[in-house]
Amino acid sequence: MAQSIAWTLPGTWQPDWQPSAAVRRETVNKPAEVSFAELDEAGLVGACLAGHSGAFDVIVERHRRPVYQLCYRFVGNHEDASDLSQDVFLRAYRGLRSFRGQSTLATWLYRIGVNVCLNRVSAKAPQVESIDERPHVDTRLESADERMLRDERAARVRAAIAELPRKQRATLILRMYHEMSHQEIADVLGSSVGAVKANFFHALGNLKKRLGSEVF
Amino acid sequence: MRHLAPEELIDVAEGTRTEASAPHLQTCEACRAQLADLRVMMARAVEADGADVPEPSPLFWDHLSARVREAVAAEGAPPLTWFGWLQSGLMTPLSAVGFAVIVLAVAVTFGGRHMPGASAPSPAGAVADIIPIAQPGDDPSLDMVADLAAQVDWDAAGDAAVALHTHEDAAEREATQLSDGERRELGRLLQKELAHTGN
Repeated sequence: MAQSIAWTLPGTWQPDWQPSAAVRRETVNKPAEVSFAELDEAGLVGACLAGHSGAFDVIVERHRRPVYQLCYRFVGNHEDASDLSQDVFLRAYRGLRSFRGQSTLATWLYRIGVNVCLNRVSAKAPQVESIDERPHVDTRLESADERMLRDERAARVRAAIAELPRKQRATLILRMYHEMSHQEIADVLGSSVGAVKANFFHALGNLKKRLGSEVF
Repeated sequence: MRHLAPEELIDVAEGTRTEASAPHLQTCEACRAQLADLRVMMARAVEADGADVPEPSPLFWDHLSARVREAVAAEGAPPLTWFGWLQSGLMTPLSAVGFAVIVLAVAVTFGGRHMPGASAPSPAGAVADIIPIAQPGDDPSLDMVADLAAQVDWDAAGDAAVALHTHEDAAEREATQLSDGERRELGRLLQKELAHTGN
């Protein structure tokens, strides 16, 4: 969804960090008309704070898929994941002025997402979709028995992940499914790299305890 | 014999550290078993996620964006934090007025007491005695107040005051949200400006 609304940054607003050279050129030397889609993160945040809500549309468009996937992995169903995704972006909009550019916008959104999801799942037991509702995997090389065994095992692992302590669960999801580095996870969870690795270690250990020998 | 720490085992299991760099593994059955368990559980966790999270309908993404857009429109502009309020253009005319008032109060309270030739304050109250004595040009702090007042865009200050009034209790609310660092910075700025007046 390309944005074509033309705008110029007002001269009175100054971001907490320095925008890119391209944005500075456009805003200081020559207040040129630019498309929101061409702006970097700092430019988009600046435009939002200057009252251009169209810039926030671009932020949503760029980050909606990973935010939705994160929420889905916490709650395990589309309806709740959809509601939570909306909540994440709304909270991000409300707190946009507190974003100082010290982390990427993605990391900041993940931090909000993890908090929103952990608050939700602690208040409501996750309603995981049945195996039939899960994505189709190419199983042409598998026998029917093998496929059923794999699906059942996957369902048990997902259920065990849902029972992990909050930080362990968040760490495992971010590390295994969102391929975030330990440092990025530490930024999201507000902890150290060592604590993230320890959480990951204990998450895998607890997973094994919950599943017993059935997954081997 | 020191077993490998959880962090070390994770590094080896993820492949960011080689087994050869942990010679303890070759002699410790317990650590080797832990490492094997970690690897199995990581593989199972990946497998449990399937190909990926189910891909919603293409229409869903536009629908999600529209829902967020509506919610954001209902919110209005992102709320100002105290720090942002200090930095915003809104604060500029008000800060000049506020600063002028603070400086005037300081000058009135302390300025006249050190003026050459000033008479001793009457027991009834210092202010009545000092104000008539301090004439423009006599006191540098009053000159600065006059300069500041001359630079104030009163129309902009009025507009800003109206805008602020629409955010009922905004300043009080934001003041309670100042971090320690912001409070220190505010204190430092005020002290610096007060020291600049020479009092």
